[in-house]
Amino acid sequence: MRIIVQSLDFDILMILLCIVPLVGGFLSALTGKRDRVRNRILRHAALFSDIAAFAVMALIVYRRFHLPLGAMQLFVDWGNWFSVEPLTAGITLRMDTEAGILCGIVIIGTLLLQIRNTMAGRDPKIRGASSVILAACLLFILADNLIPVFAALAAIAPLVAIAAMRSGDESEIGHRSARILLTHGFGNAFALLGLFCIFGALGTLQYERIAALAVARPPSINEAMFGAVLLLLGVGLRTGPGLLNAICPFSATIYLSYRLSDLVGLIPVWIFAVCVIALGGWCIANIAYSVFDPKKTRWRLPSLSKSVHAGVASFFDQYLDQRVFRSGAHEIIKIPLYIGKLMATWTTTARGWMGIAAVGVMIAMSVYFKVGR
Amino acid sequence: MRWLSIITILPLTAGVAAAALSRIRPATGFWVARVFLMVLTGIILWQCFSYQPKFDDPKSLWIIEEPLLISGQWAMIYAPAADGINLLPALSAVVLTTMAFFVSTAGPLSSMLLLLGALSCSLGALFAKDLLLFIIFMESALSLNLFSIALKGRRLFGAVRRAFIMQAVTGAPMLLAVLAIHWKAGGPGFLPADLIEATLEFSPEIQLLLASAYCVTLGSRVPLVPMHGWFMEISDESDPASATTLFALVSLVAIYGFIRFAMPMFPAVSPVFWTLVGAMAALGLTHMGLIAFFRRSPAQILTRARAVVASLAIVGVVSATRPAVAGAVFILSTQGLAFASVCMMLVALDKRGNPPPEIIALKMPRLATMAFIAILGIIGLPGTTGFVGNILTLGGSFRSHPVMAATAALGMATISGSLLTLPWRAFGQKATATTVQTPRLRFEESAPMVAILIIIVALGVFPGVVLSRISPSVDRLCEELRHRRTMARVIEEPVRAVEDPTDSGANKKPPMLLDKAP
Repeated sequence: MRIIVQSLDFDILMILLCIVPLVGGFLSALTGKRDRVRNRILRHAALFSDIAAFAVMALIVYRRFHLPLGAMQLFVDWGNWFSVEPLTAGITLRMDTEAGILCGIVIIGTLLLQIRNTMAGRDPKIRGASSVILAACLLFILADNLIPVFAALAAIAPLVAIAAMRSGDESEIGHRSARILLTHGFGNAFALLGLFCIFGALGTLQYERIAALAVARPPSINEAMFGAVLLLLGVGLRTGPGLLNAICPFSATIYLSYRLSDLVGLIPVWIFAVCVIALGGWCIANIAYSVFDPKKTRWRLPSLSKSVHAGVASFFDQYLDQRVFRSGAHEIIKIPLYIGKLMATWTTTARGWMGIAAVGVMIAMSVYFKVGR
Repeated sequence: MRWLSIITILPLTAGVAAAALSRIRPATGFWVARVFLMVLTGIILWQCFSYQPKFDDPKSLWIIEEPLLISGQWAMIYAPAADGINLLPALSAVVLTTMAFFVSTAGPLSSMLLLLGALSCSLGALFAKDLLLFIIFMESALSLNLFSIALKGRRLFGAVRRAFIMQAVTGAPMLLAVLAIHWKAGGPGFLPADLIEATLEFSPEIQLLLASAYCVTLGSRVPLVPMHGWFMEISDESDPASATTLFALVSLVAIYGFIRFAMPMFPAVSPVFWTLVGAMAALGLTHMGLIAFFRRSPAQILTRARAVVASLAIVGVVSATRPAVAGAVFILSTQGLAFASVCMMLVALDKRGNPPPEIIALKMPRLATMAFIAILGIIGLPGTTGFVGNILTLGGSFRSHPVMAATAALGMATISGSLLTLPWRAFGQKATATTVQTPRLRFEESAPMVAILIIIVALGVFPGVVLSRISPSVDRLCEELRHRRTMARVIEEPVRAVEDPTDSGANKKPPMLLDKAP
């Protein structure tokens, strides 16, 4: 039996965990161009907010050590976002062990990204977008109702587009961003349809109730299963610049499958395998394109094209070229930087392979668990 | 004095006062009109949030039981009534007209006067309980709007003339249907409660015909595909501010007519008919989204996006479930704000010679940011009003009409693509700016945009403020619909049983009256 913990200090910590990156991101986006003290502070607001989120997460983990061990859940209920019976969007956050681990991974990953952005002196808008994406990811992981989950998904698209708009080839930014938004738009439509199918079949959008109804096998369970397939496809059908944007949708799909495991477990194996392979293929295509063909100006893959060309590799190249080799730095400094550039290229390539390997492992695990059931 | 009467007459009074004052000082007229409209907004806001009005409550302050204009059998009872369903859309109409005045001072003063008259008529239509008065007010609002557009330039004469012809052609069916029902009823007045019994006396085929007549008139003003051509043409031809007011004053009233009059008036008409209307709206929505994708002009893309959102509201209305109808009313009440914001941005850019996108991003970053947020608000970014309206409408309609809702959802994705590419595809297409020198936004240009964006985000984060006013009225309306359908079934079933006593299915619930709503 799961222990649900509901106390004021956890409430405050969970609220801070979601709100702090959001506020930091918005503050960072407000950075002006002039060299003022205010702008210098705002420029680093996103980084500070991510550090604060890390600290809050650490506090939550520390606080959990004082609770009874076991698979406990931290639970915060903020009431309803909006409600017209029977459609209710409740804002309830629930952190169990798995969600906590994922939150930690996301926060640490974003923190590393922000440190890299700060070192490279990247546009504050990109930093702000990354920070707000963190807030959206945390909401996606912690939300207990599918409407906030969908809201988090839908909010990520424009943020990825903003990040894409602010980096890479200036002449193509508009098209790239528009295509990112378009791809995400269709992903959102699929996810929305899936969500409505589940709601239409089961009459609820809350994870626990869905699980309970899935176990009870009502007559409308097939519709709900179909909805789950659509929802998972909608979550996975996304793209963006860089490797993170390529891998994250697939990871999100797997996480959502886990959350809806009682319902997903009813999906016939062949449908599940087709979906996993399709999403895996999409993800691999994203990664391959961002790693091996980072500077192409034409679309080579459907709906990907320029959206993924501003990968990490191109960023490192541009950074090293602009900041070091063209700035007339001291000759001695150049030697380690040449080595650094070489390492960056290797790292990028290796990371691409690692990404592909990771996706392969995820597919294998998904199919294994599915068949194992 | 009755507040609703005052609210209805106030815009016209403002117009007259402004016209009189402008004889003395031309600029004063516009400012007087703006101040009057802001006062009007304040009054409606006070009405909206001070207490919960009920449309059919006889104790309501606003009922005037005196016959207006004509007495006897043809009495038109001016009984302005309000509840959550019409008060918030009325507020939206006033706010959008005010915004149109803030951004556009083009055109002669008579044009402004006509527009204020159109606002008065729209408010009259929204508050009217009498069906004939509703039609008269709605048609007057459209006519005055068209005259107002015609006064802005000779080049618009052709489009306005065609619009007038189409108004007459498409407006006639509903008027004839109402007169036919009134003739059958034989009693005084045109109150829907009196007319509905007469409607049930017609044969099912005639009822279907009457409902179709309603749909033709109201659908052509929403505008629904395939009756949308003339409305789109006049919106494309006119300036963005006029297009905004056209949608805010006419389309809004037509959608309200579907909610208040068309659906409840024909309880015995087959749900299949309403499903067909909804399917038409959903398919039209997708069609309009695709058409918008191939348009280059930002104003044209925006016009189609407005039509898409209006069609989405119709999808919600014909679903007749509580979340869907509440979502449709929420869309009516709030969605125009995002359009107004983008429209104001277009006007501001037009005044600066339509600079290309990179110049907008470089020289006017705040404008670009506001435009981006407003566009995302239209397509339903979480945390804006669009998200709540879309989720409620689509989610509510999915339970009763899944295919229709799915089509509408895909259509919304299509229009999202068009709108998102709008800043890059359309801005700068007709660039007339020769230099990169672009004047900064003036306070009177930026302040309304910022105010609207704050409202959009605030209502997106706390939609309960609006939904709490809408929901009780929507609940009553849906309950009334269900009750009327039940009554129609009770009336119809004994007739069937007598016609065919051996039919074992006679006592079963007729399929056309199956209430799919939860």
